[in-house]
Amino acid sequence: MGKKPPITNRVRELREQHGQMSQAALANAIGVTRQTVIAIEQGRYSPSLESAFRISRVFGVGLEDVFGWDD
Amino acid sequence: MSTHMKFVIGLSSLMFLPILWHFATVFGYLGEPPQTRGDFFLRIGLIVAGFVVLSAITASIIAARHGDDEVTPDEREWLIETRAERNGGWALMAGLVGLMWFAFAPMQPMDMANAALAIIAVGEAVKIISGLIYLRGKT
Repeated sequence: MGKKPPITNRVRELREQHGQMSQAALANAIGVTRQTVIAIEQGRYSPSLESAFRISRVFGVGLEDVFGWDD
Repeated sequence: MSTHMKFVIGLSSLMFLPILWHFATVFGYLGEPPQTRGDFFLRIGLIVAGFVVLSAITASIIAARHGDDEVTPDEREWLIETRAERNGGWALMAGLVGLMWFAFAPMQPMDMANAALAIIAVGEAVKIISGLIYLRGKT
């Protein structure tokens, strides 16, 4: 499946900061399954740009506050 | 595992039961194998029709109970399915190349038909197994 991309994310941290939002609630808010949210948090899946924007909007932050590029 | 993936993997796996039964008849473990083209295609046609009907019924039940979203893949599942189908396609092509090799040796038409069916089944198995691996691993 190729080398793991150096993309990091703070999804789990942001969920916890937003009143312990559940993975299911986030999944529902962005229109994916809970399994996909789990995969994103674990760095096993890089979401589409659309989902990345949806996630950042759910948390009310910018895209780069959620996702980063680890040099 | 999401409802959609359970649905897809469950139904695909279920399709192996009649296929296994068919090959059990071919190898003489159970009942009579098909003897003519008509018998063969009637059997395969019934298996495919059963699969289509069962898929439609199951999808309708899931949609009615949980909503339409549960029967459609999300973006990661779609990617997994695409990759798994690609692997299944490679297996199918490899199988066809193998079949071409054996086609030059004298083969009975029914053997050829069963070999083609076996290749399709192996391609489907590769699809299911690689899908499960992608589900658990990095996508």
